[in-house]
Amino acid sequence: MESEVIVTNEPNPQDALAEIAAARASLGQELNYPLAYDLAYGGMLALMVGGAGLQSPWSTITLGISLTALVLMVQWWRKRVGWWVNGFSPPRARWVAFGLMGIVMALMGLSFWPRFGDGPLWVALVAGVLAGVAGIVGGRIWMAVYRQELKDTAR
Amino acid sequence: MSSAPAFDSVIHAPGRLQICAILSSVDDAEFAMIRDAIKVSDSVLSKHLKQLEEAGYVALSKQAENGRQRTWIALTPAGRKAFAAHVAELQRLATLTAPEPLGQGFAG
Repeated sequence: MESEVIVTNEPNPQDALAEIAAARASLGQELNYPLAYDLAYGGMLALMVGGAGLQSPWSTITLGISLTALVLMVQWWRKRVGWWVNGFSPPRARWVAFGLMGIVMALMGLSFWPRFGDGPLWVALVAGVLAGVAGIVGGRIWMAVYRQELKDTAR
Repeated sequence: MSSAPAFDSVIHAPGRLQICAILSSVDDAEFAMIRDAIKVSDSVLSKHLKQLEEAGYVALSKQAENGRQRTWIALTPAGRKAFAAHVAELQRLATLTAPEPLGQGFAG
């Protein structure tokens, strides 16, 4: 009796899931970017938060510079890495972004004190420095969580 | 995001599965990056993208960069939903067809 052999190049479920996991893992492996990127991100946040405590027009100028820096950073990343992911998109890493946003908002509120209240100027400077450090540390943590997420999920 | 399992033959083909896997992890990705990641030629990737685009699963956009046109690709909401449903179905099928561990199912 002749048996019919069906040849298909479509992967079985296990192989297909392995392909998905491998494709995502390769995305994470190519994620080598310089520390300078996180330092620049921290510097941008420091300027944005610290500058918010300055009187006009300096608060507007520092905000404009920091937003321009952010746009340039996004452009640089897209050109170098070839893909982009919003900080709030990945299901697990987004919680790091939410945490960082909370810290930055709180520091921004502190920075407003010298501008809209009678707080000393150094409060805004300290808030800016703390925001910068939070940005650098938060950026590294976010990327570590995202990398792990790419490895773990075959969703 | 959890979806009801649903097999999708457009997504399941080798190549398109990897393309969707990459795109599901990012907001958008550049043509050359995907081509290099899944190790196919420009024409093969273009064919895969055309099929995904016709199914409404990806959106392509051209962006000028240093005087060159670059193509960026993103999964559409329908594409994300279909891919999540397809992966859920693969996971369901994988549990059904998982091989039994050695030493079980034999009473000798």
